[in-house]
Amino acid sequence: MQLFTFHFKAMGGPCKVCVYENDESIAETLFQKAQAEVLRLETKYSRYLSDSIISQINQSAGQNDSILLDEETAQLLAFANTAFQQSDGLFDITSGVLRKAWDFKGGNLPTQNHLDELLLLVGWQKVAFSGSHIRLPVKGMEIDFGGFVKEYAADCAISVIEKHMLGKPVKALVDLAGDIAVTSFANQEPWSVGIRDPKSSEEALAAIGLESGAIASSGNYERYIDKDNQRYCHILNPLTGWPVLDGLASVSVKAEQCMIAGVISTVAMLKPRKEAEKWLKSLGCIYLAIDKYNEISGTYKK
Amino acid sequence: MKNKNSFLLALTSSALVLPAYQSQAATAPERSKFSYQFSSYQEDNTEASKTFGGESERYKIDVHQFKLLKPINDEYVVTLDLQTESLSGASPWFTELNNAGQPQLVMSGASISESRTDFNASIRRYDTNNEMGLSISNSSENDYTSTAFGFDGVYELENKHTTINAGFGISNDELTPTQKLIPTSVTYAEKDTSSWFVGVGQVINPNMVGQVGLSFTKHSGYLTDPYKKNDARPNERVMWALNGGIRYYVEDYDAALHADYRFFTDDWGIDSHTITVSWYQPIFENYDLVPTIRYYSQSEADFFSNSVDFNQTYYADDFRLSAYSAIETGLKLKQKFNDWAWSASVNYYQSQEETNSSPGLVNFFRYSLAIEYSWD
Repeated sequence: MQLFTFHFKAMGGPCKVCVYENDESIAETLFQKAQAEVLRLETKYSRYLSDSIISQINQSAGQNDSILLDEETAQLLAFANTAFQQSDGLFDITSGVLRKAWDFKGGNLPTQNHLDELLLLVGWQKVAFSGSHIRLPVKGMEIDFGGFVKEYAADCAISVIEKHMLGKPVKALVDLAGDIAVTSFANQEPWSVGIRDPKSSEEALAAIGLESGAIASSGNYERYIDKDNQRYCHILNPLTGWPVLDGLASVSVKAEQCMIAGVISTVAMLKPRKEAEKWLKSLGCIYLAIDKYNEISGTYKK
Repeated sequence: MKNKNSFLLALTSSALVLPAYQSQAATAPERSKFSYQFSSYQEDNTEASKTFGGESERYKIDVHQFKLLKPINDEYVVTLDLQTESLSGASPWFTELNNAGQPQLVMSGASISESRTDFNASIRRYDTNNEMGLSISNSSENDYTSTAFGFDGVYELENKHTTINAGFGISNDELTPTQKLIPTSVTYAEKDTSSWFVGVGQVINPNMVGQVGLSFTKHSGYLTDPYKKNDARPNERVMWALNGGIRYYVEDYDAALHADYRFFTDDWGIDSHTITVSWYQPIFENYDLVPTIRYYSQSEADFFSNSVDFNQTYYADDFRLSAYSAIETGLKLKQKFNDWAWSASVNYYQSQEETNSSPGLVNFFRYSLAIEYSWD
């Protein structure tokens, strides 16, 4: 068995597919199928492409007609709806409009007035979602799959690989800019997944063993404003419009599905550090948390 | 915040409906399902030129089917089927040659009206690489009762590319023909059936699956049709069927081609060939359009004649034992949405006469409407 690694760019970041195979042409085919699946989802759910389903929904905000959804989109929205309800509103796919107030490049904090204005457009509970149709009731409201589509794509890429192998065991890993899913296989060495140092994009601070399932990470290092010794990261509380100031620096969560790990890690970043860890423990999931002093805690195994 | 179990369970159960999270392993269905189907089957009238009594109506059958599938736990699934059929119309009673030497039908005359109820219960057990099913069924009409048992198993080989399936069944039928306008040949009779089959399914490549199977059926007892005048059949019938088929996924059209062939032979002298081709074409997001064409051809039974000789031990003029061929075309539209699915289909069956075919060959039109609901 030889390890083949393929790199590509998608979903706004570096991606890779790793496959253990004897036959390079099989590894290559698996990579192409996985990449095609990721690109399919990127195109379908991009909010930058004007003909994507997300753009269609967002452009119709405030109009009377609801939009008919295809089955996959309807099921993903049903998942987002569950995540919203189960997180008491912390996981909210309508919170993307808040970025209009947050100038992470310029480094300026928003005014409360601007946030209050935008918060009128935030709130999944305002959306008319029937299971097959959706309507955004207020002009300017937006939905955004950015909070889970990359994780979903990692799961789908693994599913495509497994389906192509028709159940024959294959050891493969898909890494979409830090959201990682692997095929299930018995009696083999787990993958060692490096968890990055929130203070350095090059360094791994720890590693988690992954024999099946997925790991998703959220951190305060992607986009942020540092002001008066305080970090304001891009993970915003949809109820206040602000990031959590006494939260974790990063959290990585292991789950059977990357999409679920992603929701858990996002919600954990929206809680104060102690509360977040208490909640993660209560879920019984494997996680690795890093606080602002680079102290590591969690229930993970190397 | 909700507690641990409800949080993860809720997220997991709403994620698992997405196809990416559905494994390919032979696992038990996890959702309950209820379906209802209505079918209406109408045979074309028999042309006046083929009967002694002028144009005649034939059978019209309406069928209501109810099906409930209920998983008991991870391993066991129970299925209940109930089907009711109401039949009206007339059927050929016998065939005779007219003055010109052409065979013509004598129909059973006045319209009959019958109803039939079928009930089937089965339980299936699923394991990691095998499944087994046990079923019992009962069918009853005012002049007919049938009870059947069946057992089957499916085994998946280690490589997961090959599945082997096999099964057997037995049934007992009781006939109590009703004496109405036409005399019947018996007032009570029995018939026993036993059958078995074996099959192999093979994944040929990621886009193609093939299967072959062999089945054997033996009827013994009273096999003569009690409502036909010129009918005396052997008390035993041994039948073999060999079938093969492929399912081919056509990437360019995102469609699937199903092609099947079946060869049948029995010790009454009938050989038949059936070729069925269907094309499963997804249209829009949730619809499937499925056109189907089927060709069927059979040779006649050794004792078939349009002008029977009563000196023979066995004789029959039933059109189903004559040589003929038929073409059936069908179109089905299906839509699936979340927990619901529905379908509508139309089929037309047209028989073609061969040398010495019976004048009783039938053409029919059938339409079906079905709806299905699934829940956790």
